[in-house]
Amino acid sequence: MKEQLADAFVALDRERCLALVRESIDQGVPATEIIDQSRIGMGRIGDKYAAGEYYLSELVMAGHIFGESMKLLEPLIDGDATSKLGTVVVGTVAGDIHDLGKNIFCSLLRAEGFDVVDLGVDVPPERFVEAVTESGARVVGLSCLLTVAFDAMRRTVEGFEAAGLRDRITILIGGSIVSERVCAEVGADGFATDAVIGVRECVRIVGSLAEAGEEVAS
Amino acid sequence: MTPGNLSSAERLAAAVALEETGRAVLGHSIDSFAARYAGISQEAWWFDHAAADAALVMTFEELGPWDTCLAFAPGHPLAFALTAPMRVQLPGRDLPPDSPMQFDESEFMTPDDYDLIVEKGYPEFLENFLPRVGIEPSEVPSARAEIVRHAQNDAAAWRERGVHLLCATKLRLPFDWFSYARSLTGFMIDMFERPKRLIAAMDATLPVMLDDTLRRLEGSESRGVFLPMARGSATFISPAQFERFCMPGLLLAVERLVEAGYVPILHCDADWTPRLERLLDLPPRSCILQLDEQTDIRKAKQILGDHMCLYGNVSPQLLTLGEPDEVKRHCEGLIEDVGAGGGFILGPACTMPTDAKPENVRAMTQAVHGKGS
Repeated sequence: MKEQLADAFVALDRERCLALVRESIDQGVPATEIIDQSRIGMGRIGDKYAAGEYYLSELVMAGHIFGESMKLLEPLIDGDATSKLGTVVVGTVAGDIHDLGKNIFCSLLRAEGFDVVDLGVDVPPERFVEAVTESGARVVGLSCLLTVAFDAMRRTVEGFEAAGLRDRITILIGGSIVSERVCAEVGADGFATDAVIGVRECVRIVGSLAEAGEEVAS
Repeated sequence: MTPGNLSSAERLAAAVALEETGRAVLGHSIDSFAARYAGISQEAWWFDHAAADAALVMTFEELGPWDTCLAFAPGHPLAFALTAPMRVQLPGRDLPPDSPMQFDESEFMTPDDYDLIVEKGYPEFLENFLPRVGIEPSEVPSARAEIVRHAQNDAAAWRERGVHLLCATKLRLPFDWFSYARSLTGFMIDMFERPKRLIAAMDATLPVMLDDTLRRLEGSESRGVFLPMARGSATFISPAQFERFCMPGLLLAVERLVEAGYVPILHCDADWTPRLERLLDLPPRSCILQLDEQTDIRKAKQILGDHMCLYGNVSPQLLTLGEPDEVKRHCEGLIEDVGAGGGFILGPACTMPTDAKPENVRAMTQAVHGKGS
């Protein structure tokens, strides 16, 4: 089953993926193992996207199939039974209500194995600070599509500074209009113009934290 | 008439025909920026036509001149919403008074609507759809009439200032229309899971949209038709999906508009670099290709320089965060490389950011008119 499920994901064959998931459940394969295999397929899809073989539509379709698979698997697992990479707080900053890129980013983060606190759109700085305080997240993703939101990103970074949390977290900004220049301007730590780059950056950050012996999972 | 003495309309026509224009052509889409610059709220921009027009005039007089504008001040709060299958969020009504207009792209259309369109026709579906995005169908005719009235008056006044209206109307092709109405995610899943129903609905919709667009264009002075088409780019879909779902409708629409004497303005947001060669299938010397900063406009010049007029693509980051010298140098580089031999309109990528620095907008003007920095 193992390779077959990952292959079915890469082929974006929803029917076959779901049939294999059902079959594995019936055969008593632990849900966590099935999820791990699905993640291997998602990882390969991410590789194809990064190589320019797959496009956003294929990422979205893969996220859809992963979500459908999880609907079958979630009732079978204890919330804490799967390995979690850590928590990421994500939201579109104040004054901006665009959410397409953010939603795709969240869906890929979950598929990768992160816990995601999705704050939605038009999120004021204090709400980001509150969510990081509550969740213990070490990574924060600020999304925007409007240049007028650069100021809200800056204010959000300042909000973390004022709350004494800035040194504890890595702040990534995302959206098609962000760049190194915008990143420096708003005081963030990194940027991503597409969701796959963003997810890989999150994996890299929690990997470094884990290597340094720091707590990454809430 | 020598290229140096051309009127703005003649200069534009020369650019589209890939002929010499004497100097670079400057084209803006400057709406919400003009409001911010002139000190009126974004709410006033949308709900007070006289105030919005005055803001545009002030911006033009202080930071211009430019040759053309994609659109003038909105003639009605529904001016954008009537061509956008999304719930448009306007400042003062749905958003804080000085927030730029935005839209809620939720799933306002279901896959069953594809079948409804095929069975009952697009007009009946549209009657049913508009209330879902907050528009009463009964208010549409009067809104359209008011938009046309303002557009005609504004075009006459702006002609006196030497500015030609670039775009007479907007046509969002079924591919893009459905991708917004279904939401991006829903539409992408449709391309995989129900391609035939989607294509049947697009095929049933396009002729109706084209007829309606041509009817609205009757009597219009501007020949430009604005086609917003981000979703066919390489940012969103694969080459195979582009060929199957997007290209057929684009080809048909452009050919029909060009045959009727209009100039399609292909507003290609996102990354079209890998798709540029496909645009060689469109009629030559007939279209304007408007690019944002995600497409390599110099590559576009190499591939399409003998085929269509290019328009763009000064980035929003540069206009909001850059310095005037940097903007001017960047624009001069575009004029030299992309404008060589004609067929180029300098303008912002997509639209002027609301919070662009005024001195950067002036730097664009100076790059065209050769004044000092």
